[in-house]
Amino acid sequence: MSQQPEQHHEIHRPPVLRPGHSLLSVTEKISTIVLTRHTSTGWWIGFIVGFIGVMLLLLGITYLFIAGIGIWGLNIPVAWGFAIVNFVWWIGIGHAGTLISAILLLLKQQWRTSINRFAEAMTIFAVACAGLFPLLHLGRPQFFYFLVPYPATTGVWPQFRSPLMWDFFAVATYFTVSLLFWYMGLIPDFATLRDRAHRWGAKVIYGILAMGWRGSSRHWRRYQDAYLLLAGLATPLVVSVHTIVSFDFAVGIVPGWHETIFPPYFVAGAIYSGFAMVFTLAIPLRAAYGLQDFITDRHLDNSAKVMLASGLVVAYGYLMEAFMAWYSGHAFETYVFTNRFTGPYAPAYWSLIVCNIVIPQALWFRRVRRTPIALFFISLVINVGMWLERFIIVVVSLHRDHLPSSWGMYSPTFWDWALYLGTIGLFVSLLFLFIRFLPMISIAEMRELVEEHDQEGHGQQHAAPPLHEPPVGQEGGTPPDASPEEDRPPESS
Amino acid sequence: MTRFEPVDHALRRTSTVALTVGVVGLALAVIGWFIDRETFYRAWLFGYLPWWQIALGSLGLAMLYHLAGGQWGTATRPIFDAAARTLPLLALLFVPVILGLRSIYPWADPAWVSAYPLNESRRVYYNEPFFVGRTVAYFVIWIAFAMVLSWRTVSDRGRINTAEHQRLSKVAAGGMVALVLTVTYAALDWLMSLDPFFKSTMFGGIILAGAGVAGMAFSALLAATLPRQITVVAEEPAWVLNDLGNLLLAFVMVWTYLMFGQFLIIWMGNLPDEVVWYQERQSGGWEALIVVVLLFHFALPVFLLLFRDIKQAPRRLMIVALLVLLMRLAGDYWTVAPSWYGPKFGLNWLYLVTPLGIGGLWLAEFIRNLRPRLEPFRNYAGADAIEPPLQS
Amino acid sequence: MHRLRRTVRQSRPDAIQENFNPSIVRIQGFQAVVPLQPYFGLLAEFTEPEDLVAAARTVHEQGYVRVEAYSPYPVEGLSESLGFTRSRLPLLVLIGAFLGGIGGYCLQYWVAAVEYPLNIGGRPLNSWPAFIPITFECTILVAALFAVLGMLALNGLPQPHHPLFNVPEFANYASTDRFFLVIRADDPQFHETRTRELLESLKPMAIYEVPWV
Repeated sequence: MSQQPEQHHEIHRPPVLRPGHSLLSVTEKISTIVLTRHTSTGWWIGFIVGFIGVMLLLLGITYLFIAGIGIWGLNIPVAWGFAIVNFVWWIGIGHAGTLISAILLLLKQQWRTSINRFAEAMTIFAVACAGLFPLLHLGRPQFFYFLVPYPATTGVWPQFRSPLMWDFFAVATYFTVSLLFWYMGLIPDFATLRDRAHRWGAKVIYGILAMGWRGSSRHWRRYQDAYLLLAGLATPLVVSVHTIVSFDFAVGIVPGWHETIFPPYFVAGAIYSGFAMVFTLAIPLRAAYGLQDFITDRHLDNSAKVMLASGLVVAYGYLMEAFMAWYSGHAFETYVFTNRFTGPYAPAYWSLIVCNIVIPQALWFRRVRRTPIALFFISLVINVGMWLERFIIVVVSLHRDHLPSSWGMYSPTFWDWALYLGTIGLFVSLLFLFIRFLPMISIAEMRELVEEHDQEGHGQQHAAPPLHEPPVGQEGGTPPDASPEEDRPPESS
Repeated sequence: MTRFEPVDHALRRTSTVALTVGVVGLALAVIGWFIDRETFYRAWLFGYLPWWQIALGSLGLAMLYHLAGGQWGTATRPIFDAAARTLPLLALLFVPVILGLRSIYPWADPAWVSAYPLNESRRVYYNEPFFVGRTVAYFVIWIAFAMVLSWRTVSDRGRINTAEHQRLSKVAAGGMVALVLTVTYAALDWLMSLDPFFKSTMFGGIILAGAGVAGMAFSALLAATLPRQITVVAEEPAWVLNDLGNLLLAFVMVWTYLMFGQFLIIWMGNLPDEVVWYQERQSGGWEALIVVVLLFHFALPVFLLLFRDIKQAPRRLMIVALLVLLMRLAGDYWTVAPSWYGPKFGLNWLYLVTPLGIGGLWLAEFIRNLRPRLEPFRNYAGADAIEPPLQS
Repeated sequence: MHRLRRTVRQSRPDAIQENFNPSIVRIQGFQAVVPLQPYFGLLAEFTEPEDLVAAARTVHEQGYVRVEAYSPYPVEGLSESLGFTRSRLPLLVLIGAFLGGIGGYCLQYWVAAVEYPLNIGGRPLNSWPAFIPITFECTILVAALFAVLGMLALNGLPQPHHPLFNVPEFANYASTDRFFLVIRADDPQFHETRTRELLESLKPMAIYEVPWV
């Protein structure tokens, strides 16, 4: 602790970056993953598995274009099946990226730095997968542009009182803004890759993408302003997107859908599943590419806490729904819940409760939060649980309509599964391409971290006084590699 | 030293004034009780709400601070703790509501219930002993957490005491869960049940966010009034105010978001059992009230709080926070009063007297709790150079 | 007889300072870009960000205006030390937000109430609560576009070529771990030897002349 002011001061807090890194070493470590000529066998295996999924997706889409949506398991009353379940699931996953990038940036949480790039990429790919489903669900996907308000010769305009139009605007805006945010974050790193690439082709491509970035102080200043402003805009946006998705259901008067709690509950669910997906991807990647120095246990611990908190909000949503159904004494609403608890889809409901509420309570324990393998398992369970939640909301609410004469059952067909697995394949292959060709950790932001650690080590001015900011990683206790005394801030001169 | 004395003096003077206002207000309210008991009880519930929201909001913010940390909380923790410790007084002040259940809540009024029979689950839920029992449970839980979290009068003073911090963050994690659930049910019991037929799964969330706004606005107001004393622990006091302004902005936006979400879903669904609640509240003059609330609780503060020049200037931040607090009062009136007046705007002088009377007592109790918590800042208040107390 | 007419592009001071700005020379109706200075400027290389900030401050205090500092990551206080304190980006974004919001609402109002009125579930033609979500999305979309495109436009990007890239040290290390300060030769104060001496006094690792090509 304070007796050794000359030594690495990073150990005073659970590090967000392992000590001993320099500007050059972080730059090299991250950019070599991209610039190396050698493509590992593991990468090829992963990519090919993903690519098989893409082929399945293309097959599913082609047959859908030929035969129409009758190939899915849809029927009346269950007119919204897998397509909407998957849409909501994917778009939920797409929320963690912007959350990590924007909200944690505004909250000045430094630990976001090494996972934000990667989470943003995840967002964009997930939103791309999500966007496919409503379009394919249109029946005639080739006419999707009817959703755009443009002066058509037919004289017909979109109907803005429909939440499906809101959805179109929300998803399109979200995709655009996420892409802008991601690309803007990448510009300085493109410049680094341009300067470090040896091959002519790579130099030219990264050069074009870098747009001539050269790190001028005025450029940085405007860049930082724009980045903060974008974060400020993206934060309400990310909330609005899943809110609008929830409106798709909630403004309808189907029992089980018409719930005022839906907006915050959907947003929390989105964060929940988004963080779960971050774990599902980051834990294996960190092991495969040896990024433990950058994605430290503190990242896992903090993300796990966010995940636990959002999971509790989801549980609050379940509780409120069930309580109000009982409280209202409304025949249909009460029935929706009896049907969920004991109806034909009851196993799905109880699995959902186990996956989303029971198992994640393990995250209250620090040992679980600091065990990557346990986190990985829990994140998989939550991914499944959140998919089931959307299945319950979409299918179980619809399959028992107000009149018993219009009750039905829903069972997915091969093509439903083909499209679902196909989008997973698309997501995986896009991610593998991303890992191979773009820096998965923001190099410029890691340099800032290096510099801050450096400054603390030299006892110079503190960019952020460690003292007033109870580090996020601390409340759960000290990391295994630091004793409680070391947790105390260094004595300043 | 020198700077602390006038503040302490001002606090004592404010406390005396508050106590006087409180006693006069309560005396007037008692006169009102003789004139019109029904309105007295209703006005009491209304006058009680803002102070209850500030206290609970402060408790929630203290928990948030213990969980997430941040300079803003180090600086404002004395305010949160002092406000949370007023909860025992608030428990006492809730007694008139219990006494006036039949005047306040239709479901407690036998005549009303025989005219509009309640369904079975509501009959189970709404009966006086159950209601009182739940209320007692809420207060026990709130007071327990408030006392544990604010036990030490000596606050952090900018220092992180690792052991205490860890202990409190564990308490706060459990406390957050308990607080969210109890406030939700308190909101349903005390406010949503004013219209026994209305139901909304979002209602508890709106009241929670409203309490957050109240707590945040109150602490921003105080931190802006006492800038040197409160923010002296911080490296840059202006940035603490900036953070508080941003948090206030965030809470105001969350509250508006939840309000709008509930409204839009009910408006679009247009189902008779829900939409009546809004119909009552958007006719006969009530719509003007909600427009005022939207303009001055949401639009204007959000716009103003976008600017650093406003957030970092104590006086300006103070005005914005005061505006938000006043508008909370108006918003609360819009939430509760139409249930009593129906779709025609109404106001009785008692509705103006009770917030002042209860508030006077509350403020005196708050200052009584705040003064010892400001004491540690005394040593730093004199120093011009903002030097964080590093040595632990 | 040649009539030479030099036209110096009028731009804002901060744009002048950063962008490549040779003079335009007209010769009998033909226009040619002819650099007036023998080289673009003098470039000093540093290894520590603090040295760069100090150097930038000194140079700025000496009255140089066409100065720019380069760093591989945003260095706190660097742009301020060069006298660049307020960017106009926030204002631009605010304008974008207003345009987007007003435009979004007007579009919906015009379509739903004027151009294509439909009775949807008995709701009013101007169903303002239902128009809020799209209004909000348009606000964010246009504001975000203004933020990113505004940043690029104010920075004069994309600009794939810049004379600084002719210095191999800059091209190779400016985006990794080196810090650079350039004083342009077209600075009114620029003097070949005095400026070089000033830079030398700042103890840089090296000083380079930045060639035009």
